Amino acid sequence: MIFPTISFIIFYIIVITLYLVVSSAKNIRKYVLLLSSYIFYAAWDWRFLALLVFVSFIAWGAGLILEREGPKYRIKLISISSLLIILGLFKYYNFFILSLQDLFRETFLERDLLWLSFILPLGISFYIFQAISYIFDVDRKQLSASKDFANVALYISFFPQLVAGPIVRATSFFPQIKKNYSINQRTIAEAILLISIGLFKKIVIANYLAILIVDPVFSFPEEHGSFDTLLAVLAYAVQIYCDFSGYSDMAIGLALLLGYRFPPNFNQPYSARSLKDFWSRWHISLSSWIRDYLYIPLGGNKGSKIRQAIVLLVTMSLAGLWHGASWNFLVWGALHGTALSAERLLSLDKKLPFYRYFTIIFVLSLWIPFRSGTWDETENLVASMFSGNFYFSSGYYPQITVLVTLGFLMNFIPIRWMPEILKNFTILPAVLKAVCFALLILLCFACAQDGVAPFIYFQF
Amino acid sequence: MNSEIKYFIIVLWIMIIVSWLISGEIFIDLAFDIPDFFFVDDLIISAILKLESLKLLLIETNYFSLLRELIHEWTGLPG
Repeated sequence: MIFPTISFIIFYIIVITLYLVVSSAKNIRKYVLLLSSYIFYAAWDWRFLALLVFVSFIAWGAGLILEREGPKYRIKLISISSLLIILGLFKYYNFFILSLQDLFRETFLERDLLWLSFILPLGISFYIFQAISYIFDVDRKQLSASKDFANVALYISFFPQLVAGPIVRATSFFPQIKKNYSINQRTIAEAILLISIGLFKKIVIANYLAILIVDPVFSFPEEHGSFDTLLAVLAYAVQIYCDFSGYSDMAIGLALLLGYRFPPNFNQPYSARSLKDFWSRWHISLSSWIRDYLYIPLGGNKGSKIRQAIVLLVTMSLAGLWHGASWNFLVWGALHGTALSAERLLSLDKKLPFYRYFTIIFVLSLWIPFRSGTWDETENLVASMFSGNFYFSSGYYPQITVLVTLGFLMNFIPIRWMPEILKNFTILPAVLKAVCFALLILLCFACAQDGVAPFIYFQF
Repeated sequence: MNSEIKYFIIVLWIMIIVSWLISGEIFIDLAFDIPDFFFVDDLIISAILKLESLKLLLIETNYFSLLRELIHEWTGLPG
């Protein structure tokens, strides 16, 4: 069950109706959300529900023990390590085994290592990160450990952000569980706009760009010329932005109607003036998680400039690897880390003219290894890009151009317009808002192709 | 209870029914996608089939498909 489907719409309306019925009973309310979240996750694969409950249990138990007096280092180490082992086992085990086997083959020590056939549990990177942040926050005394398991379980499994974020902090989530459920006209208008814009970004812009240009070119780059590959890279930049920010918009909007406010996850990333600026605008919840729970504990801005650069490189490489078990992701993260370090050490953003254009070209170029499955595919695509063949192979260039333009426009819409649009929409009566909302959804579905491709970030 | 959200949800339910009325047999496909769960899935499927035959007495045209065809023809996007 994913967001832009009829089954999810029906599921969501049933959940929000039940939630409304029990809205005055705070204790029952959270159980309605918890049960709905478990049904949502079980609809994908019920076997992994136990894993989700187990992760919540580790976080809840560690939180309780960490709040007691006495030595805490050991329990913190055990709980965080258990969560990382779960993540490592499901996500990275086979990748490291395969890499080790390749290494042995190179050194003539060929041997067969144990290969495990796992399905990657949906959203595992997201909910494990939330569990880790809960343990850290309790340990740092930024948050009191919850005695009620349901609170921690809801924080980790809340369905709007369960499978692809935003990665919400417990410090902002927990107070909202206790808050009275009160939704005003402005909140309804904001939620409708976010869900509709997110749906349009995903099922119209991202999905069509995927099938019309990105997938065919990235799958068979040798069959395409320079123009097609350049257009495919541009289209992928738009696709990944619309796909992921569209999902985040929908998640934030769906949570808003249930009385939960999440921080924004994207803020016009392609308008960034530097790489540092780009990372403060792209997948904000992950960037800030990595800053607070990885970069700062590793040393952050302390020590010599060289030390800071190394810490940044290590942090970004791990952030790259978070996206998937592949050398391409690691290289993508390491290149971002190297460029970020150079930018900081040499103050490139202050010294170089037109630096913002270098930034955008750098970010777009690095989407090539990010999208390609392997390094060979990356090389093939770059070779096609510089082949000098300018023949056209698609019959959909006008549509692709319009979609790419629309996607970039979505990024560049001035933020100052939003309050004005919101104000005009807020004054409509609730009944009219619901009719507009339903018509917008119907229109998006009518524009969409048959079937909905899963979100790119689900695989992470 | 918050009256604005209450009206909003009631109208959304009405819009779901309207969407069902104008969108052909999409709910039958959904019903057959429900996993086996004792007698519950059979109950839902038989209820939806009965409702679908009632719907055919009221509306025969699939307006959603017509809108979809029109948009795709106009934009040139593949279905």
